[in-house]
Amino acid sequence: MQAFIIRRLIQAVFVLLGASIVSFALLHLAGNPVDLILPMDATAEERDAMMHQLGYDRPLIQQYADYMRGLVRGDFGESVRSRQPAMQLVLERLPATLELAAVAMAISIVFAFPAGIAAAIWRGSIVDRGLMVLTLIGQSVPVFFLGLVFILVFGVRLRWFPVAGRGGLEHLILPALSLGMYSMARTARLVRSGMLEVLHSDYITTARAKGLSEQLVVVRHALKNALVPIITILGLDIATLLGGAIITETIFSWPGLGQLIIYSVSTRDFPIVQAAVFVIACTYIFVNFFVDILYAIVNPRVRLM
Amino acid sequence: MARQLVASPVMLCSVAFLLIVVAFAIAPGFFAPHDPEAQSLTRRLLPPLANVGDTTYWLGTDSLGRDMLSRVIFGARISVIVALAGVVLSGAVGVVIGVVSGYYGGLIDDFFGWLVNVQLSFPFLLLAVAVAAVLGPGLRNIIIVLAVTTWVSYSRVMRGQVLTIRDSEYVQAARVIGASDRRLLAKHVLPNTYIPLIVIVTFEVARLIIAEASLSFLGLGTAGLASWGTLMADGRAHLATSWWIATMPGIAIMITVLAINLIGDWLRDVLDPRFQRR
Repeated sequence: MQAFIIRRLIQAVFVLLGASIVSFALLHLAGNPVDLILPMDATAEERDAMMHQLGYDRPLIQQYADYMRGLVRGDFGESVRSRQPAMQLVLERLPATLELAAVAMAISIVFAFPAGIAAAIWRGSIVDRGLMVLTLIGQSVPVFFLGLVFILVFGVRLRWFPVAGRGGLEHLILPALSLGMYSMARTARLVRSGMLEVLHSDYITTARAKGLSEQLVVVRHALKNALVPIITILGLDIATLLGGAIITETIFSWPGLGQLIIYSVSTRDFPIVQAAVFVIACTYIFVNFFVDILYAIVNPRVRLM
Repeated sequence: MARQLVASPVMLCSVAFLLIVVAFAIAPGFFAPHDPEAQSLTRRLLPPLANVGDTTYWLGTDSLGRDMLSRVIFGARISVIVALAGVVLSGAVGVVIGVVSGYYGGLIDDFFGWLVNVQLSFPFLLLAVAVAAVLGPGLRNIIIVLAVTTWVSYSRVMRGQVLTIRDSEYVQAARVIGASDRRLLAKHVLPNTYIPLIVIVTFEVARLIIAEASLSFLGLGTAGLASWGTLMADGRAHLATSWWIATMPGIAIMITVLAINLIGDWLRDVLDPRFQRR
């Protein structure tokens, strides 16, 4: 187990390193980073002065070394607009996004598991077919369309929920539901196929042959084993949720990282974009590191691979 | 396969709907009842099915009096072009990388494996937004953005495929006879990978349509050319008073993506015998 953790840790560090290169390279992707900051009609002298001032005229590898030195201290430079440290602005927004993503995931799990299990048990029935059609629709609706429909129906027409901002539980429901819909649909399908696979295995037949009740077979024997691979999927879902949060937060004016990213993109405030991109990648890498360890605990075969 | 297609009404509807969307994309001018850019101050914000004089506005008009049906039909062109071009480009890159790392293994595989892991640590949409912000809007850039952010799907699947086929007995046999790497890949390995590739291409087209719409909705998409996502962004401001402006293109996206996903599911079941028992 220890060897597995160490191996996985080394891998995480390398991926983290890669993520830092990506967030660094982002600025240089379109050629000269100064062009992203200065207005279009800036003169050549102004550009050169700015490049020199910000150190963009030095060799790339030196710039990356400086960037890494700052990154280790959590320093991504200042916001071009507000002159506050970019990292501080990003960390202020992180809790709101994590809250939204966590609730979205909770909603998706609460609905997806019973739905997937029911569909597997009554395979081929109306329940199964109906659920499968619903999940396919859930996977086909773009987040922003769902968000707009929710606002229109539950916010504007029925006035059940507020449609903007962060506050109590009532503020969370619409954004979390529209953000979690895709994951919900996908998880339900995975639970269903995982259960189907397990329900056809020999040890389930044995359990049934022993005369155990169907309920006991499903809950005790099948579900426990079907859950194992789904743990990793939930870890990967973090990416879907954090990505979808960009759109959900924009639609529902949710004061999180996603909204900050879109705002910073429109004001060309790239230190914030870089810091936010890196923080989100870190979140994903850490979550999946722990998910993999958890997975190795539940499924000992993984450790040997 | 054709017989199985005819036997499934859902599939027939999906295929028919997609053919209509493709027809819209190829010749929008032929199908659109109005010029999508023609404005009319007297015919602003008309609800769907509104009759004015001798014309019916089936999907209503927007805040500038432009016919929504015509705008949705013309929007199909941009959405389809971006999705198809994006899939071709990302597919080409991803397949080559996947095949190379699966077939040769070793350091090449380690490097691309690392690259895949790094890329996957960024939510796809986040990376797309960031890259689109740096490159700037435009049809060409948006296709590049989508290709850069989605090649991983193909690469992973192809790598797995090539890995299993590479060590199979018939490939070993061909190698023993003295077949070159190139011949092995072209004649023995690649022809056996096309089924998962077809399935994944289908799902990726759906994903790219949503991705393009998302970026356009956020104002980072195809500058000036109104895709379905752009139309929805335009309609957002009028959501409370004129729901149809944002909803109609949204429904177009949803049904198109649903049709593609249904076809993808069906293709997977029909083409891959291993899935049939489920």
